[in-house]
Order: sequence, then structure tokens, then C-alpha cells
Amino acid sequence: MEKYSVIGKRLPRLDGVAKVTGDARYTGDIILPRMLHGKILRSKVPHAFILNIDTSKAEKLAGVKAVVTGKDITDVPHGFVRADPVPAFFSDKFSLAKKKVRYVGDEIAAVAAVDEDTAIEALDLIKVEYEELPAYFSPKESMSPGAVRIHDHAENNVSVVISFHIGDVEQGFAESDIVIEDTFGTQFILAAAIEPHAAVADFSQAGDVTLWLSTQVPFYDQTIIAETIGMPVSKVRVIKPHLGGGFGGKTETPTLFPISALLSKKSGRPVRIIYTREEVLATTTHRHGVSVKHKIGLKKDGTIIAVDSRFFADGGAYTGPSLLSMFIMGCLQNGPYKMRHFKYEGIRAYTNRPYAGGIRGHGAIQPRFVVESMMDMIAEKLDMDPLEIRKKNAVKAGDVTPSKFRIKSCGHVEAIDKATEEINWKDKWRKLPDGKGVGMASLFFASGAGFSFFFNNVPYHSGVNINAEAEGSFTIFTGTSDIGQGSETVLAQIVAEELGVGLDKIRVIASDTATTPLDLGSYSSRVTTFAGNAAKTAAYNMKKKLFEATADLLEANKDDLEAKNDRIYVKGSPEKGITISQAINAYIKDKQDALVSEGHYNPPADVGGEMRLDLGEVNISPTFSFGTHAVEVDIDKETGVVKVQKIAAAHDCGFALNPMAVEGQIEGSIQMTYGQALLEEYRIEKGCSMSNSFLDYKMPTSEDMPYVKPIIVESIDPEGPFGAKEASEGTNVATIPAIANAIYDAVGVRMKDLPITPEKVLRALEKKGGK
Amino acid sequence: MKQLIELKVNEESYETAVDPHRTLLEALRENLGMTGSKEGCDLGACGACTVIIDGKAVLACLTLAMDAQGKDITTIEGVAKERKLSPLQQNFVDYGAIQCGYCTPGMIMSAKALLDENPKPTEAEIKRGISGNLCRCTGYTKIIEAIAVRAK
Repeated sequence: MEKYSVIGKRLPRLDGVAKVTGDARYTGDIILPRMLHGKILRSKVPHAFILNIDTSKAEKLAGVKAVVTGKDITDVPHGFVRADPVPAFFSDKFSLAKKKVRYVGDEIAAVAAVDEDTAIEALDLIKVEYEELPAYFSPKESMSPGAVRIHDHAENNVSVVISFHIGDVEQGFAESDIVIEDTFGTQFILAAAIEPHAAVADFSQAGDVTLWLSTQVPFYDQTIIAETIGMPVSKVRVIKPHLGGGFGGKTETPTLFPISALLSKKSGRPVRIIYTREEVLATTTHRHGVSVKHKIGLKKDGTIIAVDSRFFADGGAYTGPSLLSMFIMGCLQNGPYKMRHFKYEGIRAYTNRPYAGGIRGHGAIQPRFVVESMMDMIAEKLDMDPLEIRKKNAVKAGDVTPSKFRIKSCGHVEAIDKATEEINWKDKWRKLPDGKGVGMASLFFASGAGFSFFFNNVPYHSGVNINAEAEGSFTIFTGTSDIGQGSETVLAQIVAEELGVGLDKIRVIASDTATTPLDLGSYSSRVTTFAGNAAKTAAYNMKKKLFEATADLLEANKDDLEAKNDRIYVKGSPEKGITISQAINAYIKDKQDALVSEGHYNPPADVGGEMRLDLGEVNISPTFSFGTHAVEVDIDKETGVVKVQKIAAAHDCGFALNPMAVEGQIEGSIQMTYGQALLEEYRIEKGCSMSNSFLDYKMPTSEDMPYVKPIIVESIDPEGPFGAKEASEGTNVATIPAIANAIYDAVGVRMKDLPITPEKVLRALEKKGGK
Repeated sequence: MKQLIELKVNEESYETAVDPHRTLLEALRENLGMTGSKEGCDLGACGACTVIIDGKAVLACLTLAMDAQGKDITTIEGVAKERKLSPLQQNFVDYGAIQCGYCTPGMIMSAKALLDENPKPTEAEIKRGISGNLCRCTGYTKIIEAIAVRAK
């Protein structure tokens, strides 16, 4: 008999039918009676004091129902990383500019009108007087002596500095037989979900507001909206309808959320704002572009001794979640390789450009591109197979890394073997004709952020409640946000498995701050581990109550009962039992009470703790994922075009609760990193966007994507629900260096700057003088 | 100045008033309340608004509502018949071709137009057929699979 009935199966998602019929309602699909249309006036200059905003003409335009500016909001700025002891100046963004604008796109005023055309016309009637300031579009400019401060608190326009030193790298390099050092660069890219950011706000006469938001973090939004408008958190209700993709781009409260609430308050009518694609590209979260100096010292046998890395990031106009970005670019180098001495410095500069934060693979994409490229460079120097040097240094289950990460399960070596076998590595590496090559790279990622960096004090990180219905079904209440990854389906699978019922007996009510228990959100690949454990606990507690209520009926000890196939019976005697419905009714009759249960999850005691990002020795997550990508490429030496033939992507997700969903995460996440490797780049010119649409911001289409072979590795993690860990961000972290390494194998040029355009390949080939 | 137009959508006729510069997508969503067709870019670059007009996949965000008069318009709301999914829709569900689902209506309309014209497309033809529909979730793999299974 199979071990599990519902988990481990390729089950379709619960919302599949709604999504193929057009029934699924997203934020922008919500149309309320008397609803107004909101539009935001944005700065046309990159850096200036605002001397005056004249909204009088706009207010007089027929059809305009509300105009708001920075005067209408409180003096509390937004921040994402704000729990004690994080200094307050890291919260540096106002929904509407107070006295200064810091990039082209900064919010200055907003209008609500009876239709979109009127709102746009009203924006044209608002007159803004600026006193322009020098603007800086690179850290080199903004950090040069004498540069004007973009924020008052930031000397030399330094936004974030994270540095830590574990062991002694100088001693480590002295002990090393070889030391290798190089520099790398990455570009800005965007989450680019197909659904633009949207908000519908409905302020009642009684003074409370309900908002439908395209968000990954309803509970954070709720707090920021309350603070921005100056009202109790309990008067703000945030509901997340279906969400059209997040990828980190909807993790930080975008300004349209509080602005829509404010416009609704002022107009007394519901207000909807939907960003244009241009607004999404120019004003929502970008992935940091970084320049990196990296140094590794090793023994002759390939053992890594010391790592010294310096990351220098262009942060843009505001901080966002970048305190975390800069921290994890360092600490995610704790795996998947062992090292003794580790030094990291991450410096982020303010500039007058759209600001950067966390995008899928947050804080891992940039260092992994660097480290995995370096691993291949080292292997070549030592005349080792890239596969062998990775295996030699691989961390293992039971290891504690320099930053005190505890490795609970590890499928890294299995992933190396499976991915490389899939592309026939042994017969191809260094053996293919000129212009063809193979490359590999490994990955390492966290299964959820182990600390609460937003709230000072939380009762739990994830909560799940379950109600039993007399008919024999269950309703799950969860604050998690299904952003397309399928978290509602996976939670339902976990509960169904634990309660021994079919998936059709489970209904999920999610993402409503008024009715569902707290969950910190869908970011840092935390939902399966955190909410999954909460769901499993809630289901276990429900099962216990059912067993207690039915033990007498079945004339058995409650510990001898089992729940399976929608029945509760004595272990080993399925015929001696009752249906779940009968059991629920027995409980209700006996207790004269509703049958409900709760499950809460907090990370274990050896994880997280106080927000001390300066120490560099803090276990950031309950557990970690591993994996390897192996790719095969063809290079056209005449044009420099890189054609990726195949990507074999092995990912250790602990246990695949739904293998079809895990494959989908692997295949889909690689679309983004394949794009970042070769195609995507958000470009500005003198502060103005050169990437205003999907025609300028090129992401891979169905014809661009190579064949991706997903390979699931299972290491059965002790921390995860049924052994599962993350399979959503780590899944794409190895693609870029694997492609870069394959290009080297094919034509012998080392590409160190992203994206790897045909032009850059040709230039590198010219420099090399042909192979 | 709004003008009264008649649109034939999913075999039913609707009378509605639109400004002449309003697109079919806006008329469908805002006037008729058919929000299944999505807006992803409003510039014809993402395909989320794809509908079928007289048998051809068309971007509703680049079609004026007035120009759609007198034509047969099929939207995602008209694909399932009598609450029963079409085999193509069923395949999208069964093969995991959906994640966030925002591109799904447009993707299904492009795939339907392709299959209606060419019931046995090759993989290259499927990729070409949906190349105007951007998806950020799936990497297209399972979408192509769902369409290919239907074409078998």
C-alpha cells in the first residue's frame, strides 16, 4: 500500500477551473458601485525639492472627486525591514512626496475621477514647481566627494553597509596554495508579473476601509496603510483576491495601496487604481545590479579555505527591503560549499533611479553567478572536473556553516549527479566540437526567513485554523497568499493527508486580514515550511479531537485509531469504523460545541532571533534547499548568439508534496534566470526609463525558451511538513552561472557581466583572438 | 461623445455606449463586465487580452470597440459550454499549465484559434502560436504540453 494518499501526487490546483474559465477574479476585475478611477502624478525630474504643488485647477475639473498630495498623509514613512533594533532611517519612503523627489517616477499627487480620461486630464492640470538638484545615476557619481545627499541621513549617499568577518581570511589566504580573484557585474531586472499592480479601496462612512490588493503580504500592507493614513490597524481590512504573479515584485507595499485608500477616504467613494505597464517597470521593485570583487583561497587538492567577497550595489532612490538583500548576498555564500574563513562586505549606494529590492532568488542570484563562475575557474586551474570540485567541497547534512546555518538535510551531491547525467556530462564536457559546450552550477537557498523583520512582536509566523463541517468536510483559514505558486492547493493536500480525507473535502479561505490568522506573507520561500507546518499541526489537532470523540463509540483506545479514506477506524481493522461525518457529528453532539482546531508555526529556537544583521553569525532559516543545473549550449561565433539547447535542473525540495507543482516552479523560475542570463535588462538614460514596455524589456517567449528538464531530488527534511522544503526561489539560482560556464566550455571566453548579449560574446571572442 | 454600438460576444448580442477611442478590451471589461480577458500591457505586447474574432486570435487591447461591431467575438467566458470545460481547458487544468492564471485566458484563446485552424500542430507551430502570449510563471513547458496533448 502506498504511504500517502493525497501528498506526493500530481494533483491539479484547486483554482484551476476558475482560472481557465475567466471566473477567477483578480484585483483589477473588481468593479464596485460608484467606483472612481485613480491616477498618480509622478516626478518628471530625477532629483529636486518640491517648492509648490498647485492642485486648484485639477480640483475644479468636472468629474474630479478627490486630489491628494503629501500633505494628506502622516509623517510616518514606509519601511520593510523595521523591527528593533533596525534604525528608523531605513524606513525612508513616503507614498506621496513630502518635500523632495528622488527619481523620475516618484509620487507627487493623485487624483480620483469618474473615469480614467478625466483622471489623466486632471493630472495635466496639476502644476509642480521644482528646485532641481544634481542627480546621480550610478554609485560612482552619487558617492563621489561633494555629491548632494539624496537622503539627509546618508553621508556619501551610502544606503546600507553590511560587513562581517568569520575566522581570519588573511590567515586563510596565507595557508592557501592558490588564490584566485576576479570581478563580476550584474544588471537590473524586474519581477515583471503579467498582472500589473492594482488596488481597490472602499472607505466606509463609519471610518473603516476595505482594500482588495495585488499583494504577497496582506498583513504588512495593512500596517503600512494604517500608518500612512493615520488610523488603527484594526480599521484596515486587506483582502488578496487571485494574484497574477508576484516573484518579489509585490512584496513591498507599493504606493498605490495607501494612495487608493486615501482617495477613497477623501472622495467618499470606492477607488480603483491599476498601474500601467510603464509604471510597473519604472516604479516597482528591481533586482539590484551589483559589481563584485571576489577572492577564494584553496589547497592544491581543491579544498576551499577562505572566501573574501565585496558586493557593491546600485540601490536607487529608496531602501525597500535592501537591508536584507545586502545581508543575504553575503550569508547565502554559506553554502553549498564548506569554507573555514569568510569575509563579506556589502555596500549599497543611493542613486536617483528606480529602487531595488528582492526578486525571486533574492540575494542568491548575484553571489551564485559569481561563486559558481569562480568554481569553474578554480577547477580549470587545478585541472579538476567542475563536478568533482563541487562534490569535494559540498556541505552535508549535519554541518554547521561559518554563519551558524544548520544543514538539516542535503541532496546536493545527488543533484550534481542527476543533472549532469541528464546532459551526459562525462561524454560532453571538454569533448564537444568548437562552438558547443556544457556547463554546470549548483545552488543554495533558504526555506523561509527565520526572523520577523517587519513586526517587533508576533505570536507566530504562520497560523492555520480549521473548521469541521457536519457533512464531513473541512474549511482551512490561512493568511498565506497564493501568488500563483499553488500554496492553497499544497496546504489543502497537507490537511487532507493528515485527516485521511480526499482533497475534494477541503475548502481554503485565505488572505484576508479580517478573517484569516496571521501569516507573514509569500516571500523568502517560506510558505511550504512555515504555513505547511502550521497546517499540519492544525490538522493533527483536529484529528486528535476526532479520535477522542470517537474512541468510546468504536470501543477502542484513541491512540489505536487511524483516519483514512474519509473514515476513522481501529488500526488494522478498516471495517471497524465510522465515517468522518459521523465522527464530526459525534463530537458536536458530545461537546455541544463547534469543532475547530488551530496550528501555529514559529521557527525553531536555533533560528533567527534578534535582527542583528551586522554579526553575520545567525541561522537565517529552519532549513535549506540545494540543487544543480547542467546546460548545453551552441554559440554562433559569427554573430555571438548563444543558443541554449537544454537545461537539466535538479532541485532538492526535501519531499515533493505535489511533483507537478514542483516541476512547474522549476520550469517557470528558470524563465526568469534564462532571461537574466541572456536577454533582460532594465535600462535608464539620464534617469529616464528606456524600458517602458514589454517591447523594450525583453523577456523570454515560448519560442525563446530552451528545453528544461526538471529533476526532483528528495532529502526528506526533518523540519519540513512531511519532509518538504522550498521549491520556488532556489529553483532558478544556478541557471545563470551554468550558462556562463557552458559558454566557456564552448568557446573559451569567460563572461563576467550580465546579460550575456551577442555583442559582449563577440567582443570577448575578438579579444581572445578566436579558438 | 459616446456612441451606441452592438457587440456580438459568445453568441449573444449586447448594446452598449462607448467613446470612439475605447478598445474592445475596455468595452468587454468595463461595459459588459466580462473581466476574463486581462490587461497586462495595453500595448499589444503581452497577449493577456487575446480574444477570437471571426476565427482569428486578436489582441482586444489593440482593437477599437467600434471596429468589432458585426463580428463574431469569442472570449474566455464563451469557451466552456453549459458549465463543462472544453477539452483544451481541461488539459490546462490537468497538466499543470496554470499557475497565477493571469495569462491563461489569453493563452487559451491563442491555443484555441491555433487548434481550430490546425488541429495537429507540431511543437514548433504551438510555440509560434502562443509566442505573442507572455507567461512569467510556467516557462511555457506545461502549457505547450497541454496544447500538444489536445492536438494528439
